[in-house]
Amino acid sequence: MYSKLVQQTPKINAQLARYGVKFGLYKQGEFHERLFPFDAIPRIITASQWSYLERGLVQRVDALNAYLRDLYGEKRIIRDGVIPETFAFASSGYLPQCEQIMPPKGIYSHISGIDLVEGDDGVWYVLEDNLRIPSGASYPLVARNLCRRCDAETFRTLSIQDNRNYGELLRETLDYVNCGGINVVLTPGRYNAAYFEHSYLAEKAGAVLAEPSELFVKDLKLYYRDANEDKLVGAVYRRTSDEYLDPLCFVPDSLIGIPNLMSAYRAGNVAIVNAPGNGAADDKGIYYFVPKMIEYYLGEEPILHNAPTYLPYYPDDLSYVLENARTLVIKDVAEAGGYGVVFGSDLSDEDLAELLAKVKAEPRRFIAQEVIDFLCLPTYVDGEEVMRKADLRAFVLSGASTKVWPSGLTRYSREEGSAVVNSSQGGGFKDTWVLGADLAGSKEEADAVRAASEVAENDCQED
Amino acid sequence: MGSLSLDKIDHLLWLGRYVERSQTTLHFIMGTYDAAIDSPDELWRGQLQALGFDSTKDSASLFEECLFGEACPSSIKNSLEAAYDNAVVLRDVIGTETIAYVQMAVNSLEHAQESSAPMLDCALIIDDIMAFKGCSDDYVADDVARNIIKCGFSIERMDLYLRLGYKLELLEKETHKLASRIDRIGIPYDRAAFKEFIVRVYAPGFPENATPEQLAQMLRFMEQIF
Amino acid sequence: MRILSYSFETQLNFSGSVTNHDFILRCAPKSTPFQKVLDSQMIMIPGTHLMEQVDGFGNRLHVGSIPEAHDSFSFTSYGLVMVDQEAECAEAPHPMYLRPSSFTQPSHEAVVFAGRALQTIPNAHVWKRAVELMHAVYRHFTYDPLATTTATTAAQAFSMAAGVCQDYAHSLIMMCRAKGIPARYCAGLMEGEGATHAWVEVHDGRNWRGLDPTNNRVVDEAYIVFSHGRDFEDCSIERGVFSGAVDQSQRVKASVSKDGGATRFAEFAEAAQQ
Repeated sequence: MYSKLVQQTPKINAQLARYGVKFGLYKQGEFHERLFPFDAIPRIITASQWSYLERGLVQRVDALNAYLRDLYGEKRIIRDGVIPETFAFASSGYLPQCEQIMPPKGIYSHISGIDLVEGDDGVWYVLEDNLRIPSGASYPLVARNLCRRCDAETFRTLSIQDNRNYGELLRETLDYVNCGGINVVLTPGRYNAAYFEHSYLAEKAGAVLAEPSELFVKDLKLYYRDANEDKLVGAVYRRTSDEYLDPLCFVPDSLIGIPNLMSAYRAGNVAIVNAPGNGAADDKGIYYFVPKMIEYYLGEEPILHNAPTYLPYYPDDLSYVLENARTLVIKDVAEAGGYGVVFGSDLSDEDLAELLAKVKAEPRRFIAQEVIDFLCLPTYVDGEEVMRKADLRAFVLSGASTKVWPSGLTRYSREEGSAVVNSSQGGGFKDTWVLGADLAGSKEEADAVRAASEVAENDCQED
Repeated sequence: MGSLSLDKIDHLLWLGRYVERSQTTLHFIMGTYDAAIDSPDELWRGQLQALGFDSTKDSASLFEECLFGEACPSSIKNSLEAAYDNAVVLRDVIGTETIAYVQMAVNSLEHAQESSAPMLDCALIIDDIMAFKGCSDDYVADDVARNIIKCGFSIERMDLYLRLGYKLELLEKETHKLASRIDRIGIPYDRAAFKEFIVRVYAPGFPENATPEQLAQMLRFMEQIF
Repeated sequence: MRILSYSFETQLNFSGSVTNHDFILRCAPKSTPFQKVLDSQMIMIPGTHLMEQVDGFGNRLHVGSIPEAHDSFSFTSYGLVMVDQEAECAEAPHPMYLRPSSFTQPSHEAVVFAGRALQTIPNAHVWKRAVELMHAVYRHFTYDPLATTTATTAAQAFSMAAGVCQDYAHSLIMMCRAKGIPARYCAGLMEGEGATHAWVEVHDGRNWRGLDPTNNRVVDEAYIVFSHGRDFEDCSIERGVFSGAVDQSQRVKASVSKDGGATRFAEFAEAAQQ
């Protein structure tokens, strides 16, 4: 089904290089750009699977937005004892500077990146919510263009949902919260790891790409320094972290950032996408409570599953973790990008003892999860098809309504058996095909999926 | 029209200049390379010297340096990389399709560097640059942005012609092109300097009787324009 | 109940000219259950338009910018406040006031010290324990403006046993929080003090009540609050960024009085400006 794509993988990668599909990397203090390797064997999601995921993702992101509104406003969920207050406010992403600010249209997380894996048992698990500046939507956009050119027949027969509307979705989302003025994508600059994406999304969403020095605040309004006349900015899709948004509000000695941006935001004159302070909801520790948020705010049963998670903060969970550390994955909630993730089974006795001592000393800093044996996907490496673990980052956009982009970023690990899929750790990416609703239950779809999953299952058993 | 900050205007102008510098310098180097084959007096070395290359090297390493030298600011490699650095921060203005041709020129150069006949492979760099020029003309929707890039082409050409005393007969045409655009891009420029420059380009006897001092003076006026 | 007039003036002098100066000020009293603002004015030199906001901590914020070149910058805040320590606030403390903040990370030394101070009254009422800690901090510290800077943390100041009101306040906050007593930083003015002052409020289960460890004194109707926060950083009187590599020096004048003297001073300042 994808044999033609596989044959042409080198050409597709060459064209990705031509379009500059790269990410930046600092090695020994020096900036390098590296191509993001693309594997042409797609992840295929059937229409019925997708409709399940879609409902679950919309539900999850709606609940997370409700939580953020509540956390920085009334704090009902804490008063009602659903989330312990030390948990809610101990998160390093909680910013008291954002207390009582109601963002335009009440939306905190406009662009959410939800990381999922499909277990060997066929069950999807959410591993992580990314509500700050999730990246990765640009790469599949470019890849899809090339794959369709390469093998139109497959796209026609499988009726794969077109994912190239991401720029349009992004633009709608920005327009919806725009407080009057242009849309801007704020990048820390050329030497940021995701600069390609910042510039590409600006182009596709028809927004102006700006660095902090090109923006300023006057009378609580944000402006872009246009050479002819300053232009009012109504929404800023910022790809800089919270603490570097405004030196008068956050890190005082920071030279980057836009002085008084937070004042303009507080005054309701500009939307900041995503809202500052979102880290309070995508904290690895708060993750545990997301199913409870869904029940609390929406009165619904959670559709998607969390990976079984233990909070050493609770004494029962702590003793479970201490006893079963060998079979668990232990995560430092303060770290991101695949760092601070440790598999108990990989550690020497001494290292494990050292880690557990840290867990005992600072239980709030860690979570532990059962290792999800997630499905391997066939991947073409050095001329042969091998099995690699892969996750899926789904992008959920919250504007007038909550929409899931019918695709996602599928990342696979470089090493066999490894579950670390981050690009900074050498992994690559795949296209994610969401099959069209029209063909749900049709013979082609069933065949396609069976073919893909049979290979997957066989090889995974060998791991 | 879209929104352009001063930084972006500067990048557009320098994108045009570096792309043009890569192309004109490459043409010049290819011409010199050919002439050097049967020129025993090695007069061609002087002009490479004028471009900033170390003309004391033996001819093989000199041409190697002209194309790929990292240390020499005038090498094609450095010019193309500078063009890329300016292009990559303009994606929202000029678009991914257009930037791709700068990237391809950089890739072609890397390819040529690994080749056993680099000068032959350099033709592909010219192809990519020409494609960039066509693409920027066709696809860059913002009139101002497009014209700034083109002003960059003209300025750079004039700069190189004057510096090398090369193709001086084409200065008039470039001056004309620049004059027709310069008021459409909305960037302030030094009108007096441009006027002095035009007077000299259109003076009777230019370029036939031009002295090196005159050329140097014209170069100074030209550099004052932006 | 008392009515106080207040006036607070800061002048920043730069060694050269600066441009693109963006700033925020937190030097206007806020209305709280214990303090009602009857009148509050700001004067800026160079004159510029100030926008007023309330920050995440409920403090009044004046926001402004001066793009043009200038080599000095001054602001005067003056007005009239009714203070009333008999009032009730019945506001539950935000949990952040129980957690260490960047300036109030506890040191082992200080926690042991606090434990010893409370040795004889471990189970006493929150308020009583907090007052006891204030006495201990007061006795431990020597007032010394040269010992610390605005960047000194509670733990550092505690181990030097010296500092100014900011350090006294940070140390008391660090110990209260370590002992489970919600505590927050207060910046404002105090009768008889020629500059801004900092003290602490602890939550006694019903109300926020003030303790001034620098003066070993329970806060009474001689104090005017500008801002509350986790520590000094949330309560900075002035914060600004500008272009220009310059040195800066600062001159501060403050006065609080019950006879309207401060207001007259401010009127004088205003007249001088015109």
